[in-house]
Amino acid sequence: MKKRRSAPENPVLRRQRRLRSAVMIFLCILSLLPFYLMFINATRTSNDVKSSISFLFGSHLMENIATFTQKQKGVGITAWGSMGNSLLVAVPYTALSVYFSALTAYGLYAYNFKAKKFAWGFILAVMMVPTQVFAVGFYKFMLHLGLIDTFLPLILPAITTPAVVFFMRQYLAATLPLDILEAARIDGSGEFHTFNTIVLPMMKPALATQAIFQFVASWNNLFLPSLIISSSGKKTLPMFVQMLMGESFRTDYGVVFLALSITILPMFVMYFILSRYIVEGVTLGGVKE
Amino acid sequence: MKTTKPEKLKSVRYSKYGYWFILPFFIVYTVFSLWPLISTFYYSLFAYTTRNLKETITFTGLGNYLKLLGLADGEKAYFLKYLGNTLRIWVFNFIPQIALSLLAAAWLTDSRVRLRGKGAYKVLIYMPNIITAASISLLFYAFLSQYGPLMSVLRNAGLISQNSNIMSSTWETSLAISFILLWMWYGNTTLLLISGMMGINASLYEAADLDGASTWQKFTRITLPLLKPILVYVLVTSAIGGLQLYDIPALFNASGYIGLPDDTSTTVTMYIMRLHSTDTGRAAAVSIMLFLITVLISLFLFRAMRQSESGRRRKKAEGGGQS
Amino acid sequence: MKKVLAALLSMMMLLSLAACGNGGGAAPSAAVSSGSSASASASASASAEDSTAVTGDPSAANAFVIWAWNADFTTIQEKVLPKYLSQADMDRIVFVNVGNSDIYQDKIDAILADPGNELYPDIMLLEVGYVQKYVQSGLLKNVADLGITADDMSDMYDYNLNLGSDAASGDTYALFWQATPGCWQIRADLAQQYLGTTDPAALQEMFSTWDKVVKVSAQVNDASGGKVKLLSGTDDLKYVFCNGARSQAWYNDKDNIVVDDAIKDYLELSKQLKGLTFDTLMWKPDWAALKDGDGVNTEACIAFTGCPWYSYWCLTDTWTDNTVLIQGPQAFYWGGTGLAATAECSDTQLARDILYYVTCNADSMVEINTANGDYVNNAKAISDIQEHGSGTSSTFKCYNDQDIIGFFADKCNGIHVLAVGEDQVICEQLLPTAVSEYASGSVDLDTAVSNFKSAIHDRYSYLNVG
Repeated sequence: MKKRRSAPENPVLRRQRRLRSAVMIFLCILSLLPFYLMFINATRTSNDVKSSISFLFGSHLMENIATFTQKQKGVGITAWGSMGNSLLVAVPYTALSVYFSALTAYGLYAYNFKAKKFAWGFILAVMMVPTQVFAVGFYKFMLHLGLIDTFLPLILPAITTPAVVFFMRQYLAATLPLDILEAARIDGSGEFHTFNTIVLPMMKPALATQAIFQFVASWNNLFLPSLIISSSGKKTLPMFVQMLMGESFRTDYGVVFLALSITILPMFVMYFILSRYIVEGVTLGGVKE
Repeated sequence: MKTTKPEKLKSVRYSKYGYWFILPFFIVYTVFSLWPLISTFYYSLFAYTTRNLKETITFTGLGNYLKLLGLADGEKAYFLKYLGNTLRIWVFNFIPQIALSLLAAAWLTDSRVRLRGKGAYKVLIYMPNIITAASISLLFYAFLSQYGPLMSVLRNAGLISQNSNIMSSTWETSLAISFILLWMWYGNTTLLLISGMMGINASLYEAADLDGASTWQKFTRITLPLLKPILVYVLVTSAIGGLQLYDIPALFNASGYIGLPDDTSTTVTMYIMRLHSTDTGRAAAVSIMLFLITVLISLFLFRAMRQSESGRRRKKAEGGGQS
Repeated sequence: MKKVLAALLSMMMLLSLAACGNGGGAAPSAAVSSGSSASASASASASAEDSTAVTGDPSAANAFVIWAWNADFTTIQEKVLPKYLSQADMDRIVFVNVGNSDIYQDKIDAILADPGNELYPDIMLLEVGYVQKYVQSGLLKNVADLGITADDMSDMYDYNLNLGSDAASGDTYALFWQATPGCWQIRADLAQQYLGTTDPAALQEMFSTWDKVVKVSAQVNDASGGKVKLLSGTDDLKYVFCNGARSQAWYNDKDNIVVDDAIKDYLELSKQLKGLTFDTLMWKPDWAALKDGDGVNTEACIAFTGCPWYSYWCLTDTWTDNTVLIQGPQAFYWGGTGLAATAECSDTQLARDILYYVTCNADSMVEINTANGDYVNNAKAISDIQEHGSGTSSTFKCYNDQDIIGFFADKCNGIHVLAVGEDQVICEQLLPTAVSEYASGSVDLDTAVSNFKSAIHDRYSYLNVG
């Protein structure tokens, strides 16, 4: 072991550190193990999966893929099709959410208008209100508008994500000096022009962080799509996963694990690419004081 | 350029723009959230019955609420039952979660016993939080089902009895769901607590060291009290999230929105989904009750926050003495 | 470490991409039964890209729209009907395949509320579990008004006729082309090993009463050390009790919920069998996996309940040439598919012809059997098939070449029908909860029954706990 510290370490501390490292490594393994075993099992036969736990890849991947390809025909949409649908929802959702939240946050930060206090209080108050509590009215209203079984009801509410507004507002307060706006005004820049060309670029880190989280939230959402989407061709990824519970996929454990691997893989890869920003983002988002 | 105008006037002239900036948010919120919430309350006052495709709607006032709370004749208090299920699952996830997260956060921020690879630890323990909950639920179900890999291996090794089955026991199923939640969320909570702990002034610990305080004393006397706001925040967001619990129980061994075994892992939102297609009125009433509980919990958060804020201010005024 | 992991993962992803990306081309997906709704002969269903697939031109003035939840009917439409209908009529048929039995009722309920829609059905396919909901709705046309006579329906099995009729008036609204008498499928190799016989008569004797079933279950369990059991779970018996043993419907004429004694017997039986079955629920992966167990390394069970379409299409290779059919202690039926014309049907003559040739005419029904192997709802057609064979497309064979058609021939007799529109949900979703609750010993019988009633009332608020 190489030690960079010059002072010899206290043996008690060293023991402490070993213990703690062991526990942390155990926790990390715990995080990875289910996914690892899932990938392994995706390459094994159903009977193998049942009879033993293996840590080595099997040779049945191609057969499982063939069976899966075959079976997903029966449910009206493929895993890739459902991912396509999820993208069609999550991308505009994310864009609308970060843009309009930034817009709202900026409005609340940069201007002193009468209703400002009320507006800010309102946003704080509704931050905790979950979709579930107005789902019934939402469904009926969408039915009335003829928007059931379309993606719009899943996308448009992105314009109002109070938690993101909150975060952006805090970010602006910490990073954006109001003098810049004065300077822009003196240069004759319109208010919205200033926002789009000067403020937005300055908010990039906040936008990026929140974009990741909003994307993930939309991608993983099951409740609202279950309510709104009915035709199989429009099902989103979590709804596809729900169909894996259906009888057509149940017969074969190998195939179930393969199907799950396919549904999890994109997020998994994305996470490891973006993990640094995500972990930072959680920490930032948490400082709500 | 009219730089001669008084400062005050200028900002008033510009301040009107604020309305334009926040207008989209408030319009869309009114249309897509507020109005649905109000109409949900309206729907909750009617009894909807659909029989052989013929729907009858009658005004029932608070009838749906009385039914769901078991206060009407011949009605079982399904709302309370499912709220109980939800709470059971949430509590058994939250208590170990907060303990584990405090421990992990304390270790990862400890300046005396410095761990190597802190970044990797954070990345890995947070990871399950980002993966689609639906997939995770099904993944655990596939592992834990009666003749799935894990149980089969344990059975073949003679470690569990021939007929043992997590899926047929209320407690084991609930605990399995709680474990999935714990596993998905403790990383998130740990990161939040870490950010809270990093905000604590290091000189406080140094002073305590000089006084010869033990690690435990430092933890209970310094860390915990100063973490209170963030702990309350974690508690409240987790409780509100817990009330909405849907994806995991809905996919973990459930059929037709009935959480197995014996309807004991059915949560409130699963009930909303189940009622929604057959009985709009009661689905709406369940939603409104869920809303009221959410409001109560949020109020608790705001009060706690204000208290801790005023507490801090008072302490500052007193000279900020730390014992 | 992270890089290696990421590289590994992306490789896996590419692999699966390559394999799953090219999902085109239709292949017969055998055994895609509509599962929990236990319906439909799962014949080769063509791949349906989007669930609701419309074939034909619905905008034509004389379009004739048929709704279904899978492509079973397509086989009949393509292979049988052209011989009996004019080409002009065939061209008018618009086939709407919802592609998903779970949302089928929602879809047709929505369209039935919209008579102006060009996709408003002229004929709908309806499953046993909910056919009565539509029979009672007033939205279907009495088959007599279509010109189908009592004589036309005389070869149908009585129980199927009752399923599609309004019991109060005796009017018939929905007609079935499949008959789905229930059976027990016994796995011959395991029967030989644990029961000492593969003779159908001896096995039937062995399972002629529930007491014997319990006794044999215990014997098998002891002999195998729990690796092999007689039944997968008592859930497998729910249709035997719901669609056979019951003598009262789920509610009486005052809309008070009735829990028949047979259902209480079922609860008691489940308790007696606790530990003697694998305790699985039908259609769950554990249940399905039991079909292919070897009884040594993996769990296996000797008997599954079923019906003709299930035997033909849903048993796995393990069971081919390895299945003995017996009736078990009680006659019963599984789900089947019915046809009904809507009251607003645009062309009663064509509706009559389709119903007639799909559900009444012996010759055309022999051809249906040839086309997709369905055990048809026509005694004359069945005896024709028994005499001449029909060249069915299923490759399923019973052990020792047991005559499948011959076995089922008399199994439709004596089936008693008490169907109500709520059957599917009560029997498939609510009853299993009551059964497991009681069998596990967590509640006594009265509580289990009362909880069951509450659950029915919770789902159908117009039914009273009483």
